[in-house]
Amino acid sequence: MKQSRREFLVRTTCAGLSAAAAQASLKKLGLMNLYARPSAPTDYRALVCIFMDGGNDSNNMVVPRDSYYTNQYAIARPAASGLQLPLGSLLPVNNPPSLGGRAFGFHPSLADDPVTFYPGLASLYNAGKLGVVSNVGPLVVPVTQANIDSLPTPYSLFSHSDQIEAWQSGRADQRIATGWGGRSADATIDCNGGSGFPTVTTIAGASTFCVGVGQRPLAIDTGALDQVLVLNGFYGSPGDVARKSSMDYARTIDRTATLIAAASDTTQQAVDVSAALSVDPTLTTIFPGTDLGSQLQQVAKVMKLNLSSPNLSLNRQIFYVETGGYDTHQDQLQDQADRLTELSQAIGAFYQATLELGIADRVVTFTLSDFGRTLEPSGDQGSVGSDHGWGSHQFVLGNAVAGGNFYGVPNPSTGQIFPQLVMGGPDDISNDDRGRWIPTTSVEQYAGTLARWFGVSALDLPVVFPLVANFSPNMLGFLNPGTSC
Amino acid sequence: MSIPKAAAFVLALIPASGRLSAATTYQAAYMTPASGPAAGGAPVAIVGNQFQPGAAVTIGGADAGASVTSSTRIGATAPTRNAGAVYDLVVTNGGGGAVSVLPRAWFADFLDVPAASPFHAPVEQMVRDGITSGCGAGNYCPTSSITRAQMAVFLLRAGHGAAYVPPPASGTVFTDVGASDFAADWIEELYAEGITGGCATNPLRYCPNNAITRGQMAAFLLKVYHGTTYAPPPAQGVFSDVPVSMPLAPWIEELARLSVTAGCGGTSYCPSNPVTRGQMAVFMTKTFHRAEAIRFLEQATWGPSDSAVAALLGQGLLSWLAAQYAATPSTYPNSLFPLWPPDSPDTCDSDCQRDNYSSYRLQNRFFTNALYGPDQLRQRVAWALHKLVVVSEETLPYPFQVAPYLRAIDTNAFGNYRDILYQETLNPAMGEYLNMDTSTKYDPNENYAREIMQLFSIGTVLLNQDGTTQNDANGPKPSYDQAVIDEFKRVYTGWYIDQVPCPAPNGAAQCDDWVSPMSFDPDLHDTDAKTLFNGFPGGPVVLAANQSGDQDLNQAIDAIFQHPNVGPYVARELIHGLVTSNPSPEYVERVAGFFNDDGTGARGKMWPVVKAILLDPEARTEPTDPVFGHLREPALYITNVLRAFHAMSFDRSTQSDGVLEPFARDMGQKVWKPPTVFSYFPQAYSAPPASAGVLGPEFGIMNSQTSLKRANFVNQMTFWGGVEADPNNDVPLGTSLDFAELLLLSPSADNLVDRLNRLLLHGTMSDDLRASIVAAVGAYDVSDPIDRAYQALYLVAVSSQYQVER
Repeated sequence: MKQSRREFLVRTTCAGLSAAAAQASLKKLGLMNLYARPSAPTDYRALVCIFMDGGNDSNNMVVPRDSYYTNQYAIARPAASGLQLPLGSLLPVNNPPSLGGRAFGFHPSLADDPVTFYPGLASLYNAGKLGVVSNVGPLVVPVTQANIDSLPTPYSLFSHSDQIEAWQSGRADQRIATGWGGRSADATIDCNGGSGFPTVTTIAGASTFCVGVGQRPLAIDTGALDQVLVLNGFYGSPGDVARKSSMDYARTIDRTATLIAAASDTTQQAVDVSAALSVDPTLTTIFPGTDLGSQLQQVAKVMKLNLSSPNLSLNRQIFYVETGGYDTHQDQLQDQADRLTELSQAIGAFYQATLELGIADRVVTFTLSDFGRTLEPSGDQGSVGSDHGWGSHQFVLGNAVAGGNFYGVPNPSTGQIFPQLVMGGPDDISNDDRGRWIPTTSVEQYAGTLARWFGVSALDLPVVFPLVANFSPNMLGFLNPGTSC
Repeated sequence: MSIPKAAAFVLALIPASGRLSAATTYQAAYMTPASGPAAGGAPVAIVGNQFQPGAAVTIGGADAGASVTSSTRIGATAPTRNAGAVYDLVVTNGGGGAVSVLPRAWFADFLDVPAASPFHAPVEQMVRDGITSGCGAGNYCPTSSITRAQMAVFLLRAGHGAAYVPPPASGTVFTDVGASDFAADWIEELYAEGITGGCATNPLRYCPNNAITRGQMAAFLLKVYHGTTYAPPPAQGVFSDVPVSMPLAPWIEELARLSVTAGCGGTSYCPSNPVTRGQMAVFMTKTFHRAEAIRFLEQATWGPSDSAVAALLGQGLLSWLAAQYAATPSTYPNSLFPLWPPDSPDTCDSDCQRDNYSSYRLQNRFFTNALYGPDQLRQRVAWALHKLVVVSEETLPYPFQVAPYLRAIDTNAFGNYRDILYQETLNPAMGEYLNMDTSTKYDPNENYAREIMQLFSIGTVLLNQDGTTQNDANGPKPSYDQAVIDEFKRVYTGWYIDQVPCPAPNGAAQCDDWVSPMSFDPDLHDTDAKTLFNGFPGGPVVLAANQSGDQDLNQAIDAIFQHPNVGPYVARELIHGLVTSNPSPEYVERVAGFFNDDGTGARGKMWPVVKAILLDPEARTEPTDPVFGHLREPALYITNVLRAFHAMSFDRSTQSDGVLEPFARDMGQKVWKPPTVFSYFPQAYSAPPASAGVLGPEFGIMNSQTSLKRANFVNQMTFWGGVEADPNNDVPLGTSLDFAELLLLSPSADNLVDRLNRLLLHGTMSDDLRASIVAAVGAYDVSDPIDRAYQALYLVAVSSQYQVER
């Protein structure tokens, strides 16, 4: 089984793949055959990717609350700078064992929801469900301030679109068309045994993360699940039936032209999945009416549909949502506070929903972002923010996560996984820069841990993350590897 | 079992042009103009690839005095040739190089049909089609009449091709046509094919020496066009001199519906008048070259219609292009979008808010400009440029903020790209969008410095002139790095958006000045010396210390504009927007060559680039490459459908109000509101499956949800009757299509589907698709013609075969 899947992955990366063979591959992935074995998923695992669009300033999201606050943070971001979070405003979180003795706090917006009282991200950390992955970012090889000019570094650092691509595609040395979410779906296709419903569902468009070599994500919007993929004008009359039948037939012919076949396949998937989305599941969990809240609510509904519908029964699912507004060159204190409130309340509600569905130990929610931001503020009193950085901190959440701790790879010269908040310090790109952290943890190590838990085998890991061999260890400890199918 | 190497994924790398990079192949691709006076002397350009100095050019064997101006261009002078004849162009490359032949490339004008003649383009087409070679002595005799005998020859050549030879005549078919009479073979074949039934029966005669009449010609043309089993719908009584009882009336009226003819003046058709040779050329061109015209108009306008097809065929491509160059821009005038105060006045009610503080009117005008504006090509190019040099209403939601940015693009769409770069750099909306308006020497903002290079001009990697990337052992070579951006950002310091008194009706208030170029404060400008592109091609360019802001800015824009990437980058993106997502490197190189040098040594001239994109054989030739073409983006898909069927207001009494953006939004494209500076969809998005390595940028917004919305749009315009007027909900007039002609054709499912095949698919519908749609039409009874019409249009318009423009 593994061999055939890997051969498939290799075969379909060859540029000479004919349109007919690609069509056959899509059929093999069951995009055409929706009605598979009618049984509930037996070993369900799901990854939920939240992309924080714009480059979140994690320097103000996870903040030292000990002497490092006074001696580092408050010096780089003094009160007068307009970018400082007062010490007393930080939400205390339990000391991470990995940074023995050091104390931290989270941004005040990551508090419990004041209306529903659902735990926010700080409480979830303290309950051991949420972990921090420290100073992670795209790398080609591990680099330090000393050797960065002589070793390969990611293409187009500090460019939004390119760094988004690097994070989502899972390699930082060249641009490719697929993402590690899609490739993880390819590598675990056998877990979903012929179900026609795609492994990857995105509520925020088919960005690179979602695209696999063979698999194409299902892209839907928020709203009633039985209304998202509706073809208007069909009421069952003979004319309507004939029209539908002819439309469906037209997609199976004239496929020699590459783009025509691509358009037909996209529409075909929509029609196939539309038939599966026949109900709008209800949840007792109350989601905030924000954009991210609506997206995560939709994710929860699709999960419920999968669990309760005999026609779907996917054992592995990957979801993608996006939340924007993090490119805080100006007005950061206000804007980031609003954005992180939305983030914490939406994720908090989503975690509640996984409890409601009884799958909180089977769902891992995690964040990605373009980059962190400069420790040094930019702009002036009227409008203060920060500029594009590199390494940043991300969150990972779920009952399977060994939460209440920070994870990452230590800087060899400091021995700490958390950066020294000193401009020009040992974690900075250079000794006269603005506090842009060289990541000590690579995307491969972070995402590889997620993918291995999800069910990508050790053998397939280099197929999903081509540069993973450049980094050691290839897994961090916040999740254990899962079984592949 | 071996573990596949990571190298397997290298093959999924996105090539810059969608194809594996390669050095371009030597060839002469085309010449322009392709016709001129027989006496010679017309300057011509030969366009191709890999021309070497010393190349020689002959036209019909006569030397054309070649001068190689670049590897993609040779200037020459047409030699004296015989009037009315077509000649091969032969290029012998420099350095004893290879020979490239363009057969029948040059047409020497007839003495009596010069370029200025209204018959010029159709007569040239007649000769190129091999239908006629004139009346002798270098003349065409455009005013001479045509006999029915001559007509038989013309028709069969038009139907079968120039090389056709009919079987020998027997002389026993028509009593007035002997076996050895002039054109007897052709006349008898015309009868055998059912195109003619003769001029009289008992006995059966053909009247070979009679002049062909306008009435007879209509039937002849359409029988060849459709095939002889075709039966046109009954006549309605369109012309005052063509009663519905006249046997030729249905043919005449169909010819008029196709816009091949508008009659002979007033409400008359003059069915008995003779047809002159000049008129014949026009009628035949307008009838038999519709497919090419439709393909051209799909690339050069917001969508073809029959009248547009006929107009193009009558003028010819070059005249059409010249008229488009001169057409008045529809644009977004200041008078319609005057400045309003930054905060809406208390007196501004909800309609006033909608009109002046939302994108409503700007979006509506996009559609009305597209549906009705005469400057179609300018609008298409401006839209492509908007997707390249991006400002989004997502961030600047007021129309008066964005209209000046749009005007700068419209005005310069056929001008010089450097002017676009300069004017948009100082455009206030752009200043706000990419933060240049708050960039000072104390805190220079790098956003604009990055995007003007990354997206508006150069791209992130070094390009060859054919659009492929320059690679080294690490992959594509970067065109700049952070240090380059850090130097450039110091140039863009000190500009700001000023305020001016608001125009009426807000004269007492102060308005942000979105119209004038940004103002400049020298105290906020970094006046230290700057070194641009240090360590990269295009540099180093040193800007001296203590220059004025304008000096710094102009020199910086020059440095960017002169970068060798700009030609292939702009060429590639415009080709993507107009023609195909996967051009050959040769095509990109030929177009980039016009950006680099318009023929007079000028760089950056957009009009030669636009013409080069549309005149290139890769765009003009019916494609055989499976990869060719592009998915119609939502705005183009909507306008194509609406223009094909004369969209008007819901009650058909006036123009549509243009309230159509909700359809585009549902399909994933909020007009004027791209989600980011990376436009509506990524430049390098792959058509699924990604493994095939084929570019399909428009697929970036084509997914499960949006694909069904395309069908729902067509359903709205067909079965649901269009967009009803709903003035209380911001739809003052609505939009509907004209189904009159489809209703006429509706009793015959074959005729109905054939019509849509020709108009929407330019005749490429497969037999399988046709049979399927015909059968589906038959599910509605002939007594329900409108549903039959809706059924046919729905199925063609939602098909992938139509959604992808080839």
